[in-house]
Amino acid sequence: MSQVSPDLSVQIGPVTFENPIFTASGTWGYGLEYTDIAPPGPLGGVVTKTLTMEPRLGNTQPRVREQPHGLLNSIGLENVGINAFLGEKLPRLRFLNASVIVSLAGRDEDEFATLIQRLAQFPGWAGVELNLSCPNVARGGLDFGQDPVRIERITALARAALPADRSLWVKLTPNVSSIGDLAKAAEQGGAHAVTCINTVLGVEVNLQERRPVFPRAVAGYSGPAILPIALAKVLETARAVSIPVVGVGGIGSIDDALAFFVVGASAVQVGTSLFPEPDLANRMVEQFSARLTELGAASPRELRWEGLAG
Amino acid sequence: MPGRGLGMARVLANTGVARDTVVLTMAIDLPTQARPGQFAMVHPMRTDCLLARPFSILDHRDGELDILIKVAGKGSASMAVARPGDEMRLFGPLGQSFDAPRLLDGPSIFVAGGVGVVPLHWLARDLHSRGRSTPHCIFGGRTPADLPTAVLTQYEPGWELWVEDGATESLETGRVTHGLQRALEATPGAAVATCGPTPMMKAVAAICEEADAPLWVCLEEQMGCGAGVCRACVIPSASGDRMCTVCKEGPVFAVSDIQFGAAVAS
Ligand SMILES: Cc1cc2nc3c(=O)[nH]c(=O)nc-3n(C[C@H](O)[C@H](O)[C@H](O)COP(=O)(O)OP(=O)(O)OC[C@H]3O[C@@H](n4cnc5c(N)ncnc54)[C@H](O)[C@@H]3O)c2cc1C
Ligand SMILES: Cc1cc2nc3c(=O)[nH]c(=O)nc-3n(C[C@H](O)[C@H](O)[C@H](O)COP(=O)(O)O)c2cc1C
Ligand code: FES
Repeated sequence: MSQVSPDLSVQIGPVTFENPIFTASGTWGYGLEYTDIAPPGPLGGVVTKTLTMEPRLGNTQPRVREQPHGLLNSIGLENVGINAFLGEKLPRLRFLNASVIVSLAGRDEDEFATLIQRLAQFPGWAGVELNLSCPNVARGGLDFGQDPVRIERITALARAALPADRSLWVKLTPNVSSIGDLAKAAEQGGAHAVTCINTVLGVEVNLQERRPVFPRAVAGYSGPAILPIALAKVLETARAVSIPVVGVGGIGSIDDALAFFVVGASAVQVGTSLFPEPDLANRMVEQFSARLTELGAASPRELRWEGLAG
Repeated sequence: MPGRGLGMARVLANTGVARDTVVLTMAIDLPTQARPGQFAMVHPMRTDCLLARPFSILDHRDGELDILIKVAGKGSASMAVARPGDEMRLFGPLGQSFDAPRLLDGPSIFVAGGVGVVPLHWLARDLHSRGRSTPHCIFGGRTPADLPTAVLTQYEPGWELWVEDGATESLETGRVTHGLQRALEATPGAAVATCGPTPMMKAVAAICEEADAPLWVCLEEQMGCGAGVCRACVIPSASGDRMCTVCKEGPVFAVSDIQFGAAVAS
């Protein structure tokens, strides 16, 4: 009996990706840091660290604190800035045959479109992910990301600036009462996909000193502990919109990744678990087909829960 | 980045060397030789430890690596009771080594506190055995039971030992900074390297600034990835216009390259 290998490809807007495993923004650098042990080429794609117009130095220490099953971070969007990315990083990613989603954050509504216009002059990227959900910066980030009206406006401006053959993803925060409403706003604005979720707000306390550990008090919680939260948010989002949902949050194994397809995701991103295992996403790509076959599915789409529509 | 490896390391031996302190000898296939100052990210292989932990490399032979572990929390506690045959994920060697000629050619003074002795001990042994230089080595621990004596005696010229409590004839009571001051007076123009608790290194920095002695520090910072990716471990550059990663651009820095506020020497 001949076995047809599962179809792993996924189409998001005008772009078809070879497989649905991506690295999450901020957890795998610019896709160039592990080429010796985990090349970016075989992945569905790399989502870059969020880029801003100017380089950013980020927050003061402490920046991360390990929790028993997760991680609190307050990096503060430290990044090299869009120009250094275009000049130094993107050409190398292209050389490595990486499929690149560029994560972007603007200071105001217009700056997202300005960043895309800058990007549009260069080849070698498949799409952008608008980071409308970073909890660790004073301006922007969550300010935009909790308001459906602004999400729709920013998405529409970005879509207008985006070349027609590129994919537009909007990354959402779970720190709202209805992520479905945010997703609908992004869909309305013309997003090709929504990415769920950015980090969950968290606080660690220094009891002795009677204060929070992080200077900004609140930090972003990620890692295995948030997997059930992310699955719930993806489920809610998949019920709210008809564009693809990219699931992210707590993935540490191929079965964690596949769980997202059951609740309606079309692709997934691996984040925090890449820190202890930088080759994890690459290994998941290798394991994907065999595990699907074991589960009797011809494509990840077949994993989708029938009750999802309900 | 060239020459690092990611894989499972198998414990060959676990040797107690001081209170709550062991040396783990591990079998691992690394693509290159590690150098003093470099470290490895080692995962304790328990589910309540998300991240791997940074450990300086104590020695490296063909296919074998030694690390010294002092129990500081749950991950190091698990690692300290590892048995031969146990496996742990190891990523390394990582970071920059001590490589400034001024330091390596001597005269030099090494000041270590606690587990900070690991990179400096290897460096001192290496320099001495190759006949390149013989650093004056000063080590401080809390009590005699905290001194990994079996390790320290491997450096033939010997370590000058300081304890805060419970000194005996061969030990001095007080802080390593006293030893450093004395050594600098005896050897003007010496270069200094230090690794240990941050307050100790800041006190060392203050003395070196006063004495106009060039100083290299081997820093400790909470790490996420160990590879310059997560931006957890950063410290501002001297000019403040960029962030330096302790994991990739460090852990060894010339103190003049970074903002490492000197504390008042005590
Ligand atoms: C470059 C470098 C070299 C080091 N070399 C050695 C060595 O040779 N021998 C040795 O015993 N220890 C060394 N340490 C310290 C060692 O990494 C910590 O003791 C260890 O991470 C504690 O982990 P834990 O699970 O026992 O403690 P926990 O408190 O459970 O750890 C919680 C989290 O905090 C981090 N953390 C806790 N203490 C430290 C610390 N002092 N520095 C950095 N991260 C910390 C852990 O990695 C973990 O992510 C080194 C640290 C650095 C940065
Ligand atoms: C250290 C760190 C930095 C991050 N930086 C970004 C970022 O720059 N932009 C962004 O959209 N998300 C960022 N994230 C969020 C992740 O992309 C991801 O949405 C989140 O961590 C949940 O997934 P995980 O549990 O697999 O990590 C960061 C997360 C961590 C842990
Ligand atoms: S530990 Fe991640 S950048 Fe240094």
